[in-house]
Amino acid sequence: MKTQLFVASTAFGLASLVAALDDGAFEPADRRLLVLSINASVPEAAIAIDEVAGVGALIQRFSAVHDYNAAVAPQHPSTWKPRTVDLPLLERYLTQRLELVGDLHLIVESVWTAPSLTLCRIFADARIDTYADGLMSYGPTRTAVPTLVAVRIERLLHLDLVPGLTPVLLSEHGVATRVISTEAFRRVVAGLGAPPSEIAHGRPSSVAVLLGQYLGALGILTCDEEEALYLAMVRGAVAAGFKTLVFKPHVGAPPVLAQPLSDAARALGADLAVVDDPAIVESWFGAPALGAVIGCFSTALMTAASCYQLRTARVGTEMVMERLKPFENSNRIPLTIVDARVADLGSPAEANLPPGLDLDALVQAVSYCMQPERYPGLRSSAEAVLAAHGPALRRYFRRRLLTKLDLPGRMPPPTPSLVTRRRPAPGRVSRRQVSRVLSRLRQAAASRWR
Amino acid sequence: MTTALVVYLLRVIRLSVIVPFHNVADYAAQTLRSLRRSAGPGIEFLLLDDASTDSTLAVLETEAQRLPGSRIVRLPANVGVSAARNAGIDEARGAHLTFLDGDDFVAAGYYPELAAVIERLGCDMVRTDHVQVRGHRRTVHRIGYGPRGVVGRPRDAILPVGRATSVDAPNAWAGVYSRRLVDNGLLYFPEHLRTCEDRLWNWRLHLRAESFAVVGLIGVFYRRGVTTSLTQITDERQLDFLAAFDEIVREASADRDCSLLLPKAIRSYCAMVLHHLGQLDRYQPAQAARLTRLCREGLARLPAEPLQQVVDGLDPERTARLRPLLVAV
Repeated sequence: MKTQLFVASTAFGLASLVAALDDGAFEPADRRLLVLSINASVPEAAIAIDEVAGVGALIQRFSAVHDYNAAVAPQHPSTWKPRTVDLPLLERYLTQRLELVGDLHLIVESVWTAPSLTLCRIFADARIDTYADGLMSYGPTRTAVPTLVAVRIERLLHLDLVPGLTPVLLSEHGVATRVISTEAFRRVVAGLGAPPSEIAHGRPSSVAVLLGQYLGALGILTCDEEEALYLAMVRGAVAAGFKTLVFKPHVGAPPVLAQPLSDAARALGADLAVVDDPAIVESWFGAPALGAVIGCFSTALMTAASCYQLRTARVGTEMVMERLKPFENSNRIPLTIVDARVADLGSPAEANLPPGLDLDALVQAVSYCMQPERYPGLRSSAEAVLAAHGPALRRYFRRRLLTKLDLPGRMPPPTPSLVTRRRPAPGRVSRRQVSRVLSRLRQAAASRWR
Repeated sequence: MTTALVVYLLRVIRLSVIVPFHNVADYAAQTLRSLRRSAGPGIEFLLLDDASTDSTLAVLETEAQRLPGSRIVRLPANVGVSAARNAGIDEARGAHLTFLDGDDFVAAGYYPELAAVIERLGCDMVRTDHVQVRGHRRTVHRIGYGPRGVVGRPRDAILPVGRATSVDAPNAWAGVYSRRLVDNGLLYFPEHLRTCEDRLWNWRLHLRAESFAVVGLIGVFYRRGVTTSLTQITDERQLDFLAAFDEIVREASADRDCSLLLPKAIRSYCAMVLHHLGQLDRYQPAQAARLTRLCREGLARLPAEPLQQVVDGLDPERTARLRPLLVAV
């Protein structure tokens, strides 16, 4: 008896899983179970995945569906991290609750963190595949995966969001990658809900979709700055000739007030609708009315460009890159990719990357700087990239970090200290040492006045 | 199914949920979205905007459109949580009533279950456990009373003196109340108190309501650490705890079981005094001096003999902290 247990926390993730099934990524199984987990800050207030239009049909593909939030209530799926000693008890509890029989194969997203990691720890004998939930999987693994889990991970499945780019995620454990067919993904998404009327009834290529995120809620920007970012998207879209704009807030974002955005559009002679719909925005991308997709660093920008060949534009990546702390913040790789691959809304003609540099090398260099201990093998590539293109890539790196890692672009060594490090024995100062100190003092004084 | 049908045919409102909001724009949408999953036939939501000055009302207007059974009530001036809840009680049409704070949230299906519980038990009030939330961290808080799910007399749940009982769990939203308590006036909150109003309210319910039960239904998620730092006005409001406990002591003294219940009231009084004295450094120096003086005067008003017994029964550290305040004023 073989049971495959799929875990999803977003409609996008679920669509990717079903596309992978259609694509033949999984061997036959007696049962395919789906566990849904809502990981929003307040799951009780979030839209359930199965409330999203069209998701019901996707769920039909599984033998049974289970609610993880209900299983761990009142705990939050992201913070409930059971003690190791309790794991055997929990294995029995979940085996009963999910009615598991036979060999188990887990297919989880974000394996390094709860709730995926929790399930992998509880089911200590299960095979593990993991799948990417967006651009972050091109970057380094955020936190170390415990060995007892890591040794069981067989594959990382991912959409080809950036054709040709290889994920760094889990490469430290030699996990194989497998691309999920774009065609399969598009077919699955086409079966989800219809786009809103502005898009369904618009003239070909007449509508610009603006992608909301939740940078304010994450503390990356202030809420006012985030609103300013959206206003910049509105102005840029109108300047690019669009009269119909649709703003799609992120499903996980706190509610936005629509008024300032639609007021700004109206002042510029355009119409803006805020469609706060649990549908995944990708389900709109097949509509002929869609003319452009504009965002900051949403994964959907790359889906639009790579899977739907839509025109895309970015706003504000440089500012967000500057703000993002610490350097190893996992949003850095999505930011880097979008900044390097998508045209700036204000100056679309500008080339993003210097000639001769490919994105793979840049992503590896940034990944190395984010997690140098985890990826020592990427150092030589980081050195080469920085040596050849350093000045042109300044916004992707931090000078202080390059210095700390002793990489090209480091700050020059500080002027040698005025007093020699090895303190000579008292009364044994040679004439040469005295003259060296004097000459340094003279140099220092001279440079200060220069 | 049958209940749902009866409810539908008779348009009976089984439960009124009274939710006051005051300047909680950041949380109100989550509150209302969680209520959407707790809506049901015969459940009405009274959303009282207590004259918010931020965008709370706009959030309510947007979100209420998607919340079946909801009604927004705009209070003309900021009246405070007690008066807002009382206004909600006057607006409510339900056979049973409950409360929720505008920045908290509930589990899916909670209110239909809560209504079913009090309908089944048929008592004046049912108290529930709840979950406290700090960020993503959640802890279950239970009421120290048993047996559970069994109807008893609330006055029997006040004692013992030395441990936290049902009377020490004053959160109005952790419970559901029969309309009988509206009719006899017990459900209304004392509006003259700016803090601890729920303590007095809860004591009165325990002394005068006929019947109650405690159940382990954990559906309310109570956010901690949300309110901003204490302002001077809040300090001023905090002092009302003394007035609240003076009234509790008065009510307990007038009760037929006075000799049993008064020590409990006095002990809670002492615990509250110790709590506030423990936070003296949060107050302005003048306020702190005033607070200390008022505590001393408050303790002096208490009947001497039971007070002495209560103080002697505290742990040595707390006894030592209280003693200096007990010298004659």
